[in-house]
Amino acid sequence: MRRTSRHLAPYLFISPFVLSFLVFYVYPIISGIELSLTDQLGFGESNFVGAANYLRVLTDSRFWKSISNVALLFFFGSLASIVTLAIAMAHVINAPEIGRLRRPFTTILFAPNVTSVIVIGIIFSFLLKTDGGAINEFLGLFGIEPVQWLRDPRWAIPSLIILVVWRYLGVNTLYVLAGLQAIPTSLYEAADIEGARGFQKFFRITLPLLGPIMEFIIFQAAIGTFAVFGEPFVLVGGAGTQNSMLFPTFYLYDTSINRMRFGYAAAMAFVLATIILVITIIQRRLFRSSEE
Amino acid sequence: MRHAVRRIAVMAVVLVVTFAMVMPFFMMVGNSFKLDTEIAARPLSIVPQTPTLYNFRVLFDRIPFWRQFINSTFVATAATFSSTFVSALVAFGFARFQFKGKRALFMIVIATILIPPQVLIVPQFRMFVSFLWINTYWPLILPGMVGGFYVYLIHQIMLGIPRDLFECAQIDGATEFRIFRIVAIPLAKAGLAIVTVLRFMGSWNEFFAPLLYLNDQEMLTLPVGLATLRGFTEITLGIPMAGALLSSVPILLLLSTVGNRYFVQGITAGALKG
Repeated sequence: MRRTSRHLAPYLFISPFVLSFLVFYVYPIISGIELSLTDQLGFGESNFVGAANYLRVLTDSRFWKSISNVALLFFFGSLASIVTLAIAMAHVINAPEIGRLRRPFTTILFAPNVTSVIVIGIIFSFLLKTDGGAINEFLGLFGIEPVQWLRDPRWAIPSLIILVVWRYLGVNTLYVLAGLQAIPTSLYEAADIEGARGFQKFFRITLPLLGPIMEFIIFQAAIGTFAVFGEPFVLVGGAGTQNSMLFPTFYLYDTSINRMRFGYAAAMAFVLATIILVITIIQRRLFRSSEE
Repeated sequence: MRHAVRRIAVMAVVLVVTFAMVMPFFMMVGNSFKLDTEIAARPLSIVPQTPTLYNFRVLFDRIPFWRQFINSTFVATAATFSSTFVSALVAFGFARFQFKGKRALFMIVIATILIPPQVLIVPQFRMFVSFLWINTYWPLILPGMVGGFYVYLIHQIMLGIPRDLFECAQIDGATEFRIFRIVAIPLAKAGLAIVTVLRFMGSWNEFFAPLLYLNDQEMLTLPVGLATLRGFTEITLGIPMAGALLSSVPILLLLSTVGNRYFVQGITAGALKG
């Protein structure tokens, strides 16, 4: 009796995971594949349509518009803005000159990250207002004409870049800080003895050794950009002028929950997942090869 | 001399960035107490000239705010406790025992972290409709309960517990569940705290799932309740601002008290392990 219970114990402990995995992952994924091969509309009968949904996704210009929005926000927001600023902020926080301001400054940087996307959306619908919005008022001090941030499709992605920089700078700074702490100080001491300058140390030691944490940051940013949903939902109600703020997760939501085109939406989700997977693999390759 | 220059440069950056980070929050606070005519007035000022509680009164009129506040608290609390407890159970199973299929199962745990959540949206929605889970809190609590990342994090910490401690308890005749409760849980407290904070924050701020699964005003959680005010953000900003302010108080309080320790630790733990 005792023996059998000991033998069963491990399985009892992990059973919640197995159960949750089967119910919330395996079954949905299988039924999702099945669904994606049908013309399921609403909750009634459906017909098998083979790969038709997939072919339609591949030629769906709204779908590709949403992917290109992800690409723009990812390259100009995450990579060009957040990553560089986060590296700079991490160095500021690590600088001895900051003294007692280190902790309060870190907390302030991090505060937007614990705030809900809806609250942030509400705040930014004020900041980005064309007439009397804080950002246009500020630019006005320098004689810059009011920008139609949320209405003009050309300014849609820049609006989101401002928002995501504000929201994610803090958490990415923490990631970089974690990476910096993992670099042995002996390397810098050796460089000092060799008479290396500050920027030489940065480019020869810091940047290369931040590789693993950069991979993590970029992976998180890519996943996060594909998942953008709440920001455009609050700012412009979803897609924005001429789909300028259309993101894949919103498109998926709109197709399935609003329009009930479940078969098509299921196929779209798998195309999306494939794109994410390919990007992840490419990114792994890039980082692995640069480490060699 | 060079020191002084560096110090001034660092302080200037700290000042400018602090300004950019806190201003939006201050404006939210200020605008909550302004009428819309004053919000639109120029030049901008943060402090309301004629402070008013009008926005809060209309807010409580438009949506059952406190009811939704309680809903959010309930969901976040239930999600947090169940998630921390069950993830710890699973993590203990992996950390304590050798058993058939362990490696493969653990690989699956990690894989669940990497599955793009978008593929689950449509089939899960249809499944929960068939479960009659619409307008209940089950879809907000159960699917995310055994989080792959949470299991991984607690597992890593439990691996650090000396095996002798488990074996001593075993010789004393303790059941495995008792070993879990009196040895593993207390020694993995740091990990459990991180999971608690992350899950609470995630659940309190969650927008997507409640938007999908809740539709009765009396059942909504705060983020969705506030989003229903959006329809008129073009007309009025003061009312959503007031709601936004009230709803972010608990989480900002959490950040300023236990936060620095556990939020920051949780985040960096994720980064280093990733």
